[in-house]
Amino acid sequence: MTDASAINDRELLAAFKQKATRNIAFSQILKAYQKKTYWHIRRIVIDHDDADDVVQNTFIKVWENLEQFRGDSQLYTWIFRIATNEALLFLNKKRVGKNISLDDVDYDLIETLQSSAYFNGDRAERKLQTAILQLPEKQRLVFNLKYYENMKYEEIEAVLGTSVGALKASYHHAVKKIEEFLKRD
Amino acid sequence: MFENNEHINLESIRQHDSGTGFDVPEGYFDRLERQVLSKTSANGFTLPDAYFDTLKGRIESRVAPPDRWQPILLIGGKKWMSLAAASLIAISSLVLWLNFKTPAYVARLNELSDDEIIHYVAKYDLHDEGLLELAIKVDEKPTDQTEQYLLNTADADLIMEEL
Repeated sequence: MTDASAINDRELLAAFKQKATRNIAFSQILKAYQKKTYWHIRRIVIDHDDADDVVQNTFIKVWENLEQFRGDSQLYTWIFRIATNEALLFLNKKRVGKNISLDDVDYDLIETLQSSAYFNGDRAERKLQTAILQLPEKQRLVFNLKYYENMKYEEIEAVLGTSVGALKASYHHAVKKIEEFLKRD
Repeated sequence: MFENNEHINLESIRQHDSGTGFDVPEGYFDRLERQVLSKTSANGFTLPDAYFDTLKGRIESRVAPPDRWQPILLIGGKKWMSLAAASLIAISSLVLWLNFKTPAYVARLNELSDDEIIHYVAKYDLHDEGLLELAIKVDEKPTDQTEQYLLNTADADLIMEEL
């Protein structure tokens, strides 16, 4: 994030804390972060309708808790952290609801990808997504944030609450596994 | 004079410009189209048309506080139900308002880091800021005294002003 956006965030937070400008500030926050947040969630839950539910719940929690946000981290990493928690919570509930064991989680998401009406990737894109879905959850999160969101490790640390060293190791393992998976065919 | 010179220069340049000097790698525009499309469809993932045009409005409609109150306060024929509901809301709101105004509680809330707030939100799956406050207060003394105070001294006009 740039200095300019940091200033905007501060202004937005100040406006949100004023009752008279709260709705306008929230509207601006939505406008600024809804797309990035949606795509982050979509890569975790895969299905569009699920992502739609989770992104709405995420921003409702942003609305409910933003007044307590003290700015220890950047606004967008704070939103991403809520989004990540919401997405993982959603997947866990879905697993319980469908009585899926932890071992079959990846398979369920791959099936979701294959049957999704909102995935039109070519063979290479489908194969890459399949490879990503076979990663352990933490590695998958780190890979998505680094590869697709182009986040710095320090920013990912703020989102996932994991040390930079551990993140680097996770990303390294993730890349190796994806490379091996893509070489198999 | 200057304009004439410029005209002459441009003409001489055009004589040397057949329009075929620049070239692109074979299949470049096919790949460009795919690259641009892959950016817009986010690596294969797509969306319903105009999804983001409606998302913002749908979220805003779910968080706008006035909408939460109107359906209850506008109940028509059964006035006693409206009054009971309004009183319940008023007392609940005043309890939360008084809790929020309590200096010790405000200090405790301000001590919380963003991480702790996220932890509470995730742990208790909270959907209401009042519940967040209650979750934070689990290790504090119960609010029986506050409720008793309200029952004894609550002023309906004051409550309605606070809403």
